[in-house]
Amino acid sequence: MSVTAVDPAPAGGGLSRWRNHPKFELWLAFWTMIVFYNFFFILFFAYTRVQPPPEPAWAIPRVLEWFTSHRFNLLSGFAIVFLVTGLTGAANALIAYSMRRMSVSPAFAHAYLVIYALSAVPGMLLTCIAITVAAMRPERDPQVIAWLYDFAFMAFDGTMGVFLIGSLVWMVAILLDKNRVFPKWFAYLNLCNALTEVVVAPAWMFTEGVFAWDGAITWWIDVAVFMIYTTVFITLLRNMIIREDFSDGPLPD
Amino acid sequence: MHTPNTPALSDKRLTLVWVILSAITLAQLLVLVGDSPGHLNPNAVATFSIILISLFKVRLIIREFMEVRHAPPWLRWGTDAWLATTAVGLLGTYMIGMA
Amino acid sequence: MALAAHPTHPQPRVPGQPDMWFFILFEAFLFTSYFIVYMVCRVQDPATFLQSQQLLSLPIGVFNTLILLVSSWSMARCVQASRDHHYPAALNGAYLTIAFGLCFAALKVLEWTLEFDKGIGITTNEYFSFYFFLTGMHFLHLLIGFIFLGIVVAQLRRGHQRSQTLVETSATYWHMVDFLWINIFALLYVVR
Repeated sequence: MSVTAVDPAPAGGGLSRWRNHPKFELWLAFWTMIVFYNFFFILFFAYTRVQPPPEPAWAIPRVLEWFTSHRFNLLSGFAIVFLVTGLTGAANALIAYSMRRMSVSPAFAHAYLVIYALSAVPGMLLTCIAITVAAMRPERDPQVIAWLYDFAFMAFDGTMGVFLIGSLVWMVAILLDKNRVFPKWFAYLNLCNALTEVVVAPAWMFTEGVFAWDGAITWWIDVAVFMIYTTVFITLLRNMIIREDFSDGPLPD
Repeated sequence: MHTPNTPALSDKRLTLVWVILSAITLAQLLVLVGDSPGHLNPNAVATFSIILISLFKVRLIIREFMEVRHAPPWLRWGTDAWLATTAVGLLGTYMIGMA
Repeated sequence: MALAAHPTHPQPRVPGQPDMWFFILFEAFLFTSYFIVYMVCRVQDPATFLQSQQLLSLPIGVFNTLILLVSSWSMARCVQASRDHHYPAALNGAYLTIAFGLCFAALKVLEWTLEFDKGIGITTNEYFSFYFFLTGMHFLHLLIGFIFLGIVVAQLRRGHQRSQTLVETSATYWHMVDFLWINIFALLYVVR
């Protein structure tokens, strides 16, 4: 957008005044991200109850019972998830934008975009598809339903390396940046988040206890860190948009 | 160059801290080796002293090696708050769990 | 720097970047949450934990603790020397720290190998799950520590515009690796 449009409020009706606001597009991306995270948390945690995850140690009858009792919420909730998954694009784009605003090579933003575009497929879609398929026909062979149950939650955990490297890319960009887009402590918080992704690794070896996919360490503590991380980066992205002056130099305070 | 805080002096202090830390570690080992292995029982007194001594060592590292003793109050309080949380969390869990 | 000129009433100062202290406090609290979960599991089955604990090599554990303590000492001396512009001495301190760090890493790998040889693994029982998890996570922090030690060496070797802040920031990280180990050692090897 043109820099000259910053100061004067352009004449015209409500919509065109919004449209001509220099930060309109950034705020659009920001609010799309907020809408996405609201969908995400409400659908996964409250509506379908897929998070916190059910137990990996359950015997097949208990798994079948879980699918039967949650059937309607799983099918309708994930129908909405399938509709809104694309909204992750806004969050990823805004984060990539933050790296383009830095003094670092565009390679960082590109790497981040590719990595996170990849993570939405196994981490969200594959999990939801597997659960939907299992819930769709309750009369299916119980073995197959149990297989889909494991597949769904392992697909979710399987994105850990993608998030790990994504966080590290963001961290290195922030540490190298001379435009002060983000504070250095947030770079280190990215490292904390990356380390909690490593903690997910034992979930592949345990079906019960604190290291299983619903464990105190692998799930609860990790999710607590992820919540802090998400809250912090949403706040910092908001500050970035407020401070943005559309130049190439250091971002003003 | 500044004269009062010569490097030799602070080096001496660092070495003293290191000697104390190592001595505590070795003393712990001697006490442990004195025990006959094979049939150890849960021991609240031993556990409490081991955890508190370890946290004391950690505090010594933070205060001396990490120079927090010259740091602003927020950092001194922040590190002490962590030590206190760890002590209360671990000892509290042990006490409630073994009761 | 004039800061060291008044040893009796020094101005309060944060060693290194405050940002690194944010990281250290965050990680410290995170590890404390792991420790508390460990303790919760331990008190539910103290006999198994105590028995399994005796399969560890206490001498290696103690020796590794001593190595990390001496590495912290050489790191602290490196920071002091660098602050006083004695760069060759500071570099020696940094190299010593790297050497001690490598010693620790080698011994840790040896210790793990000995345990694997005994047929002990991460799924052997709950105690060993915690053992491999906590020592493994600590090892990861140690490996990241070598990156910071590399930064110290690079800063000290520069002929000009050395950043004392970066040296102190990296040193602070290294000390964290040390003090986390002290807690892990106490909880895994020694506690009853």
